[in-house]
Amino acid sequence: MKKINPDYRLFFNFFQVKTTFFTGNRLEIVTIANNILNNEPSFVILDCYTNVMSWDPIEGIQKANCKIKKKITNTKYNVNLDLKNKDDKILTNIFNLESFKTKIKKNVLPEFSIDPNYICYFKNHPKGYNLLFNKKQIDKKVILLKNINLKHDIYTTYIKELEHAFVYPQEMNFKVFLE
Amino acid sequence: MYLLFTILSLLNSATSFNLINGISNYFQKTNKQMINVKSMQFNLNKDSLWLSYPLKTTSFKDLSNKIPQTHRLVKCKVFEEDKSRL
Repeated sequence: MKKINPDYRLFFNFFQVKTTFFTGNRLEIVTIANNILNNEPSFVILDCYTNVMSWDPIEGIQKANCKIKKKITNTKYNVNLDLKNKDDKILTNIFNLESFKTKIKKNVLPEFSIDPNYICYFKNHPKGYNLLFNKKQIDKKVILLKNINLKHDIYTTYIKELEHAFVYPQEMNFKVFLE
Repeated sequence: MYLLFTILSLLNSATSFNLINGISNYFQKTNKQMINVKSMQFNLNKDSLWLSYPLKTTSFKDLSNKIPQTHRLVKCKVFEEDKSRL
């Protein structure tokens, strides 16, 4: 089996998040970076598209910046994202995914799924945020997608061709510490 | 990943209007005070999606400017072998 070489990577992470009061969908553009001092890896969120309010340490409270349609079943995984302008009018479609779930389940490496989650960053903001989670809950096999028809206009000048597309089948719970 | 300070997200119901405003006002206030909330639990539904792309070498410098100065981009991989490649 051919080995995959480590490479600099960009990730698109789409998910529905629920808190006690809020529910919404987000598409986050993420990379992995190491702390220069201790070499600890972190996810760094570079951009976020969401259909609900959000907060980040740079801009503070933000309105929803897109409209999201999704159809996720036992066999399909479709997501469509339209960008809004400041007047909440739809500007343009920037992300459209049509795909099918396979029956293939695979282990992801903890250096991707676990390690960068302990402290996360938002853009170039210097303060990181600690996350508490159960490793065993996250460290499960993912489901690969197939027959992928994906068109998007996000970071296209930064990236090569799509390499992996997969879904975590389980729910996941996190606690973020804001101090 | 898992986003993090997704502290917010919100509401589809029109009946939630007052709640939205209340929460918005609260966070606007706390924004100025540097957030009163010390921690927040958030739960991701099943079926969170990941798409992985290798970076073009030409984008390395530009992307390095988008992350904290205390950090450097690092090479990583998602799977051990190549079976999952598209």
